[in-house]
Amino acid sequence: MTYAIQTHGLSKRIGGHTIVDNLNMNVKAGEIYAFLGGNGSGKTSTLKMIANLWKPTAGSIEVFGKTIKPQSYEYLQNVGSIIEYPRFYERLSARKNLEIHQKLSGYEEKGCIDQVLKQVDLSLSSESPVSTFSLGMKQRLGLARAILTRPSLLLLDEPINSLDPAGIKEIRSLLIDLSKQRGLAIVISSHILSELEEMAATVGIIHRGRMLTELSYQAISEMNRQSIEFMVDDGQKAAFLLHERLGLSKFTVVDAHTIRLYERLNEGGKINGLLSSEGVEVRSMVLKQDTLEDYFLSLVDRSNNHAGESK
Amino acid sequence: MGVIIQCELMKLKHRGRIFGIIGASLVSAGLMVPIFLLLETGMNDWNSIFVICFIISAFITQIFLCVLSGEIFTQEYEQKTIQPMLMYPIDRSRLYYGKMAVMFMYGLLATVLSSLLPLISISVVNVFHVSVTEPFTLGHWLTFAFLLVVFSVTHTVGSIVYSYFSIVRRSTLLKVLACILLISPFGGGETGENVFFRLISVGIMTVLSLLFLIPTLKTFKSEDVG
Repeated sequence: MTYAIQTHGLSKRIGGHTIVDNLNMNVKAGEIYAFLGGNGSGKTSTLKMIANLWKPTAGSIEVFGKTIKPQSYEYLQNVGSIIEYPRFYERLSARKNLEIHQKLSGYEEKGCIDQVLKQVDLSLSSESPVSTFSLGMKQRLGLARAILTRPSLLLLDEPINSLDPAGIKEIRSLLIDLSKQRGLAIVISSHILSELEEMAATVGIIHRGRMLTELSYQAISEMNRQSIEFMVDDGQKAAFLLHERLGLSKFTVVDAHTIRLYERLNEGGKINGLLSSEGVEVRSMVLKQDTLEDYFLSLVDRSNNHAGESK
Repeated sequence: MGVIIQCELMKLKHRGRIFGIIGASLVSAGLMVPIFLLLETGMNDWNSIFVICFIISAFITQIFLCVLSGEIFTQEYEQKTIQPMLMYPIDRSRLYYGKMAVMFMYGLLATVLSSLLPLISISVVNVFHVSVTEPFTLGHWLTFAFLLVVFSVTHTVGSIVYSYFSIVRRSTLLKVLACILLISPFGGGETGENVFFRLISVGIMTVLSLLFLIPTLKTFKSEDVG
């Protein structure tokens, strides 16, 4: 299998603080990889190291099988990116900015600027100074710059932030098309989990600099079964009854009033009746389908609990 | 390298008005000051005139290069455009040299213009208000040309110091102080002093400026950006 990116024990420490900790990441060529994590989890730092903006403290990075060294620059010809926030020469027009990018990237195809401007719906603003652009327009221009030189790998750090719903939809379908038509590998980080849910083939979840898990979206979907969510007045008592009286074990106590049950879903009425007869007030009972967000939150929660226990 | 220079010039093209204002005010000063000095001090030999020309040239060129370094280096860091810049498949030292080449080109142009213009203005005034009586010989031309080459190199090498204060120690205050220090070897003393004596301090300044290249290049190549 060809990998677009593989990191091995990647770490970054700044001033005694570990930002990325022994991270192993595997992005297959041609796939869309969702890189999930909360604020300050280490997503951007990891992307910066892959883009050679930051030097790792430990570990290594391979891009298309080649190990990246501090002096490696050639591989960047195959990498397009938006990291943190798309930066431009504000006084120059969108077209001039793309011309500079094209020249410095050593890419000579004629007409490609018009083509990408059209793809991101900025043709009409191509001669306007970037300083007059809204944040959403800059995001789209950033994407245009990232794909201008037809790279094989795109690193997109929260690229759909500040886009309106229509813009998000357009960009999402553009990225899916690029991945399918050009076989582009795309690493896309975002905290808008629902947006990535519809795009990604693989999901990597990072928390406090560590990769919690990395698995295919299909595997996550299979794991994310249906459940019944009970809202009760006493979650602890309800959990005790489910376990002791009904012998159920596949449930989670989400909080003091919420219990999510993953088995015997067709017996919701019966379970409700038992809880009520034992003095537990059932305020609501809803059939739910776990989302990627639920999975993400449960993993982060588990990691936090684990960290708490080890302290 | 050519592509990097071309792109830097593209970026600077849109700052033409600022350069125009700075250039025009400095050149006007460069034209007025020597005339004033000629009329007031009654300088009467070309060597003294050369000293004045190159003091003015140093003043104009160093201020110009100080401002230019802000456009070429500091702005990239302040607006964070350095981030995409360092993601091109180009060795970082080549990027640095490309930017420095633009500084050198402008430094050279500024030195030539700012030393020739005072000389021309003095020569013109001297026709109407004769102060310098000795003829302008081939020897004077050669001296002027030699000094022009030496000072062009010195001024442009000085721009390495500005790049240091834009990349390694990012400080406008230190850059301004550096600018004053870089001007000082050219000025001071009697205006009648032989210009060749000044070459010693200018030589020391050049060597010191070159020493700034190593840490600047090292930081530019290896620093984490963003």
